[in-house]
Amino acid sequence: MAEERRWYTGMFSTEDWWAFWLGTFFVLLGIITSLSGVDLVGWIVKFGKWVALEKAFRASHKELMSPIASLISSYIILMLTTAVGAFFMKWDLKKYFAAFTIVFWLSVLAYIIGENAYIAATTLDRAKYGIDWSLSLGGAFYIMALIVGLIIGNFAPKGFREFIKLGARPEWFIKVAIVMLGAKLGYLAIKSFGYAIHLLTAGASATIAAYLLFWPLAFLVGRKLFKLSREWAACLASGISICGVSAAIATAGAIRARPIVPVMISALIVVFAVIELIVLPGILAAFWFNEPIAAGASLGLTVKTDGADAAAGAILDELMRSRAAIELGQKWEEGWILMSAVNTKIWIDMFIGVWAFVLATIWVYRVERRPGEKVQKMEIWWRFPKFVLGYFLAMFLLLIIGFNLYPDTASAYKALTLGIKPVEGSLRKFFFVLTFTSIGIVTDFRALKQEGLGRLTAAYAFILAVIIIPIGWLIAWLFHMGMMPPTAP
Amino acid sequence: MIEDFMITINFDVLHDGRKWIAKNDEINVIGETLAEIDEKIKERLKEILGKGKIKVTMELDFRKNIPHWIWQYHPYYFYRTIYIDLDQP
Repeated sequence: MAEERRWYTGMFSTEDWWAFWLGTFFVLLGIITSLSGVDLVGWIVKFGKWVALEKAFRASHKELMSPIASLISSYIILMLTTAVGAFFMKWDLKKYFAAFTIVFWLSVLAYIIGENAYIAATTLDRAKYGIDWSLSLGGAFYIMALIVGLIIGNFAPKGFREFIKLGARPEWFIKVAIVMLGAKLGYLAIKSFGYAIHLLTAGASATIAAYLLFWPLAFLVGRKLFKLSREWAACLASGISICGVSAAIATAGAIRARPIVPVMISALIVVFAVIELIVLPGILAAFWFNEPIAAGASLGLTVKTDGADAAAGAILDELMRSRAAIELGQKWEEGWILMSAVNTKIWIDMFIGVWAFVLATIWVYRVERRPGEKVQKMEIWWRFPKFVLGYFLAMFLLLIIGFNLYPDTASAYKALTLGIKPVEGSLRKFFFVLTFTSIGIVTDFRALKQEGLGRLTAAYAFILAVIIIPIGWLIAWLFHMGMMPPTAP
Repeated sequence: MIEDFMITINFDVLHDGRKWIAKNDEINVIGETLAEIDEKIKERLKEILGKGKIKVTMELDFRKNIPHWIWQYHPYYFYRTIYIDLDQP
């Protein structure tokens, strides 16, 4: 039944809002734990490097329960909390339970295998684990999860692929994780406030690049070089320049394009984002080691889905920190490189509503001139990514608590660690692994062979390689040059 | 003045691959372009109501037009608002 859209429409029926609700819920559990001492987060399973399998995982607060109890508790709690969202979004709950269960346990398996000390330990760690060789592959568990997902997404029978996609929700999982990352930023900012603000504001550079440089160039190349129609060129330009699938849909809606246009472009975006996720972190870690934060920020400018960007940032964070430990003997704090990747992307995401409003205004009033149609300013709010509200809410809550309830920053940091660390650390990382598995599952490389996609694929690859990546690297370097991650104690 | 448009009529919009379809419980129109849809809605409203100033809203039925895996990336497609003055020719 058709209904009039209100400002609160979708508050309980979209994954974006449910990322806000779930992420905020877990962050609040952490805050309550820190403030009251009642342990609401100690159950969260924490994975670590291992030689003996019984050391592969444990409860975040190990005195609370056994490793197995923690793993099962995590499964049940994550299943139930996400199922609440699935229920309100009117998904088929039985199928969701089954699909999520498979995605969960595959992710656990990938996490455990990838954290084996022979695979993950650096040269500096070997003595700790009593081993004399290791591959030093930091973040191997992410790659492992991605590979598992890709095998299913590309080789499993079609019926199974379609079924498991109900529980493989990369954007939902990563948005929940990004809200928790907001808590991490606030938590770390308590002791590195100036640095965190510098990182946050430098991320604004992304909006300049994405909206004012990338978009016009991509649109122009699409129109002139690849002879795409306005409809296709605008959606492609937004998808490749701004925030991927979300931007392609928002733009298509704004210019009133046929739905087939963003659907086809979205298939391309997802595949190319995974290719970038596999290729770029290795290249950046190898050739841009002297500028780790700029390298992270460049991912936010060049990898076009939130999931793949954060995933690539997480891998880069692991690779760079491993290299710093081995070559410089320095222990960089975990997460700053990842946060630089996510920050730039969040800035881009935030303005998609404004951009869609601008495009809608141009299209409705100047290009197509449909009589009587009015573009509503509410468009900006409807398209605003709500999980970003959770990211900033979590960050500011931690800062307000940290700076006001404790005598100094050192005691604030120490007191908040009890509740926040399991949420921004173990739980966030697990949501990342769920994202990696899910990205693999929803990425079908056969999409590139779809009829009619040849010219679009060529245009996408050309614009990405010639415009987006080189300019993205340059902009990231200009705004983040010289920034190094703080070292861990 | 927009405030004069007291009656609001809502439509769901679909695209079947070739044509746009706008429908609610009483009206169902099909057209190759949205402009054609708008025109046909105006004609139907004239037949039903005769005269008046109508606010028409149209939301694309996201769940029927966009595959499930894409829903997580963006919450909706478009929501159009058109002001139709049936007293105008």
